[in-house]
Amino acid sequence: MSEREKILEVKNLKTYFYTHKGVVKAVDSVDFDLERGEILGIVGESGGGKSVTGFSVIRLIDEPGKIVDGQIIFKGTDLMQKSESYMTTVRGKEISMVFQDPMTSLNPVYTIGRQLEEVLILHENLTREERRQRCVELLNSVGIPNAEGRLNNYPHQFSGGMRQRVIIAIALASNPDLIIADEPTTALDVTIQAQILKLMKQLSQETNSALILITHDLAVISELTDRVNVMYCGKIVETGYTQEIIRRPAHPYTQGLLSSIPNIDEEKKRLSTIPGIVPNMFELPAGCKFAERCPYAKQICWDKEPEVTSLGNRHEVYCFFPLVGEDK
Amino acid sequence: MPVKQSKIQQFLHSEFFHNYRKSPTAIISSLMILSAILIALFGPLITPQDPYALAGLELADAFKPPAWIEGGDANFLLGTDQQGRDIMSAIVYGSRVSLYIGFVGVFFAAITGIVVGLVAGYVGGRLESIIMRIADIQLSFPSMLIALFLMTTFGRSVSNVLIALTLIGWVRYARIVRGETLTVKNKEYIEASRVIGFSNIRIIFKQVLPNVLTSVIVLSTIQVGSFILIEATLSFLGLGVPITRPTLGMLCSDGFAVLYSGLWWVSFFPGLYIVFIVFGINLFGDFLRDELNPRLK
Amino acid sequence: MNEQSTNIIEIRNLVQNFRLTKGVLDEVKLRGGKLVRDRVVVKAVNDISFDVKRGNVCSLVGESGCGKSTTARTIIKLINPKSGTITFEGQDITDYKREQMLPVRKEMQMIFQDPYASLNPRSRVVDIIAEPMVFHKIEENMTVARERSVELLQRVGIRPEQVSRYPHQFSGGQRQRIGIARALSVNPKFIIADEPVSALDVSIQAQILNLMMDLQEEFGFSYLFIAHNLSVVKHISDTVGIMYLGKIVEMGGKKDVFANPRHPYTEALLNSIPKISGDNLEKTKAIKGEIPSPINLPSGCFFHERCPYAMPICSEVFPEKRFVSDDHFVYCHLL
Repeated sequence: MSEREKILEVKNLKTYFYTHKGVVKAVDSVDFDLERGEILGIVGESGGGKSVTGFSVIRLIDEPGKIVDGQIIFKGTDLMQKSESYMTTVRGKEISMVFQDPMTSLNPVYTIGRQLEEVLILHENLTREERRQRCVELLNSVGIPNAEGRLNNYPHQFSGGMRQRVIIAIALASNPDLIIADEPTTALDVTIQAQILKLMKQLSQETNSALILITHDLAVISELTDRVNVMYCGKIVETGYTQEIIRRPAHPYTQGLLSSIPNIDEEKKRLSTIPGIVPNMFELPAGCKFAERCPYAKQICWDKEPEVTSLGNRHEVYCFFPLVGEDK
Repeated sequence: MPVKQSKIQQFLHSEFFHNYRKSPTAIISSLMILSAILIALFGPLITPQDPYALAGLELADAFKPPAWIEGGDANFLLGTDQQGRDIMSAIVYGSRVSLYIGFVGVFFAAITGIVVGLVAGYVGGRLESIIMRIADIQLSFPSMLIALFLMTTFGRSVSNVLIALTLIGWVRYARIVRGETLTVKNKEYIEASRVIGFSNIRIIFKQVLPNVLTSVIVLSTIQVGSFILIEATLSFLGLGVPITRPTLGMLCSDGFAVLYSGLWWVSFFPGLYIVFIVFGINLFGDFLRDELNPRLK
Repeated sequence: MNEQSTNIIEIRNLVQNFRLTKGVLDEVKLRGGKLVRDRVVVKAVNDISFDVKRGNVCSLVGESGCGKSTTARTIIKLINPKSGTITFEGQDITDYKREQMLPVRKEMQMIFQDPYASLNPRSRVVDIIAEPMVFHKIEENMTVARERSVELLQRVGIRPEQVSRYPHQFSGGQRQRIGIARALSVNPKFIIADEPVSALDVSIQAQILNLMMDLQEEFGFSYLFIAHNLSVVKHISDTVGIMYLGKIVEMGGKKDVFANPRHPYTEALLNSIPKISGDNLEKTKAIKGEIPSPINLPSGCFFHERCPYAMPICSEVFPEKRFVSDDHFVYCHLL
């Protein structure tokens, strides 16, 4: 596999939230990189830190959260060293974001043409006519029929799926190098979700934008992403090529996630589950955060945090007893 | 049976208390309110005189300025009025009635408004429309006008003032409670109660009511201040409580007559104290509103 | 009264709709120079009929606007049907008023979707379970009821030390367990579960589904399970019904429907599910178009605008019910 240019390198990212009940280490020492045109998935359950990771990359963390440490090197520049005004030139132009809820991501009092244009006005130098042309092109590229006519419609005149397409169009408007999509299809119906996922994959290939896809749905990860980071309690527990991880999961949590998914192709009387619940984020255990739910945990797992074990071919796992060699 | 953390412990660890400690306005305003209440409750025990026991008054003491001004008397810290009444004592006694009317007025207005709002919101339909139209009509009249009309027609007494305040005040409660009821009634836990078979009355009062109280609390703090001011205005105009039960407003009014003769302290200090009380209440109400705002889960 | 029929619930020709306009003033409009009255009605449930067998799990699956939640709420009589009949254990409860429904309510209960809205934030968890017991006179007083509640909560996985807490102190999965315990508190024979795991994380979903299955084996009640996720439904159902715009377009035994889907919409749903094998979306064509609004129902077969196999008759006439096998039926002109 040829080495493509790295457009994002995240090193030792730490984002903590300081609340009245204590400190929540939402993202605790996370490292990963991303190549141009690649689709990286971040998967995990609620509280795992995946959304916060996404927001941290574009530094959209508000009080009481704070990016406490780490480097976010985007196209060679460490964004952590830059000012907020620099970040506003980056956001929407070089890195854009697609949020989860299409019902609230668009401003209800402006037409979608206006909202699309806004990005272009802010980041590009085009004449009015050129902007209008570009807006129509964008709507066409996301599959909205009668694009020219619909520029003057308001968000409430679109269905959920259509709105999400508009949001994707806005994200693509300035030809960003990186798009971060936070659960972009979770709020949509199954048949619409399929449409949107296909669209995102196709657009990513056409525009050569890198895509970070954040979701809790491993099946979506499998359909769309090249590589994946599995997160638990603020840490990456496993990372590697998606198909590799799905066929040969090395971390017990990944394995647990895979077997608890109801699979349409299989017949089981009872679903296997991961026993217990996610630990209290204010009282995280020492050692491996997954130890209390892990069927294979030994004493060392409770005492020390696991370090990274490389399994070759960019497959890495943070576990003292990785499940390598187990065929699914 | 399992152990519960004591209510006090729970409160001290809560986010509410944490934010309270961090906020200077919250602490100061709550102290202002607390001191006003303490003064009203225990003030009479330490004032130099009971300004309404006519026997104790001496005309010779009349029109003394505040103690720090030339001609003042250390016995009468804030001066005296035209009858020799100690202003400070008068304020203490006057604030008792003002606060009483403020709190009790809010109590009755709240109860009326809450019940009306709950029923309108939960039952809906025509009943809701009728009630809300009545509320709208009433809101288009200035409250002072309604109060003046009622007091002139029915005469001056504490209970009439309370009735007037209730009739003015229920509307805001009803509107807020109706709005919140509309939100709550569609929540799944209310549906669950209906599926279990609980009666509507039971659901309204045991399930909906506890969940709409937060906005009522915020509104109440603001209404206390507002009612004190309405009462003060009524008294100032001579249409409030009878002169035998003096209030802060009445003291202002009495002092008005001699204001332009240079005897400013008779109106000024009662007026200042009204500002102090209402300001403290409003500030605390602001803090409460921000705090009790339903946060994201 | 209590004939031992095989069906615990029989639904016939159920219709439910909602008026969005309120009264004449809203509805009168000027159109083409004339005053017309335009009632805006959401036609949520459009004449459906099905049975739930005693001891079975029957699932209704569909996307937004298909009417599955409205069906659930109508069957349990949170809203009264516009027409049609609901027969529970041989009794026609369609027109039952509150007093008549009270004894029936003990027999049928509901589990709700949103764990963050289905429990009263101001009630202690143990009381949420105990109050229905006292109300239906299953237990004499709150003290006894609370004891039984602690047992029941333990059965669903809530530890005794936690039962005096308030809902906000529990996680989503735990709240859902509490909701299940509440439904069980009155010993119902029939439980409607309205998307009980949709709001939960994947690994918690599995736990809750297993719990629901275990409880069913232990207590023997019947479920009507509402879901939008076909994969979940495949694991737990005996019978599956697919809904689209207020109609059941296909229904039958689980094995039949999944192995041999006869309605193009069922096929489309199955094709749209992302699979862990990662190759489903590439292989299959995503279905085109958007779900029409239940305010303006399409003519003929509601699915014809999006159906890859549509024929001229599909836009004109709604298909008749055709049986593929004994309990597998479909509404489609293709058969």
